[in-house]
Amino acid sequence: MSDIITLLIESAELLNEGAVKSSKKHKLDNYLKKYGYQGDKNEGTIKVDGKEYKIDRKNSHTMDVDAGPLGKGTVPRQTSTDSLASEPKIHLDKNFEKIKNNKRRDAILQHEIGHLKNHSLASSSNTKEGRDAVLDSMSKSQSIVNSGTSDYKKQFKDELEKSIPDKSKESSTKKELARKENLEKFKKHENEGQHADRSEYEADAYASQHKNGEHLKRGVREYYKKANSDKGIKNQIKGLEKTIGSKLELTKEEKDEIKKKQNISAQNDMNQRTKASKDKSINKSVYRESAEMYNMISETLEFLD
Amino acid sequence: MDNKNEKFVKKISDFMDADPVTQILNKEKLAESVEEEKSKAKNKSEEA
Repeated sequence: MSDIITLLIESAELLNEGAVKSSKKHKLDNYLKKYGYQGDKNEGTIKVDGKEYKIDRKNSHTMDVDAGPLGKGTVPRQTSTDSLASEPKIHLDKNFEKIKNNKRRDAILQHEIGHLKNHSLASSSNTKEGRDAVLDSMSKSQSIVNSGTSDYKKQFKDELEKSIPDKSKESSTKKELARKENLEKFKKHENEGQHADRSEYEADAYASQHKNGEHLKRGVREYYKKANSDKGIKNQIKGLEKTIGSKLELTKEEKDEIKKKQNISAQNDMNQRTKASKDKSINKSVYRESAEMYNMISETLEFLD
Repeated sequence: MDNKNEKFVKKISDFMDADPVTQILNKEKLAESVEEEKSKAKNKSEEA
């Protein structure tokens, strides 16, 4: 009799486990459904505030990123955008899927949309000021670009120049001038070598104008925590090995040290981002209207094509 | 952990912190460092 009971308990546990796995599997599907997701388990589109976005959700340790004029490449998988591509995508990873609730997920999604709205070649480059703002916010990457052997910065600038309609070259709007001032003010919150820079602060400001800033803060903190857990670090290393095409052969001591460094760095990033988000001198309303601006500009660019 | 390993671990950690564009531009440099570290470790074990 007791054997039968044990068997029944085990079967119930297995069924439960199956149910949990299946609910996890469909969590992202259910979430994306509310934005009218069209596509399969790898790629598709969603519509947020009337604008369509391409979504890449392939389940892998690496992702293919299109860095526009700087070329294409494979990098360790993370939730991010390839805003410099001609057809940018929002890449969603497993840690995004695992975020505790949809409010936090929404805020992170808006942060990624913020990158597309403010740091893509198509959205912000129709005037000189807009072009300068993209260049300025990308300057962290550029300092590395400049140290390379090829003149990536020139390539990038030329590409931007091409996307500015002639009649707009000398004009600038109040919004763009205010954004330029914001970028100057954000500089004081930057620290060398951290993933907390002007472009992140702008994307945060955009997200906080569209969703609750507190949900963003909690969502980002939770995301970092998951990405830098034992399992997260293991996956990051796997992705890194695939990206560079070489096995890292790290000792346990080295893996622990990487985990420690990543957690300290995430904490520093969070502190910097919180400080930047509390800076009252930043004109955040600049990021409120970019949805309309983006639609207008992309429609104009499409018309010009 | 000796000083050399600490530098190597920092390189990996910095790479993980970077945005995708920077990672694309730096991945060859990191791959070179990894190969360098491997050959150093190989030489060390041969000497021993």
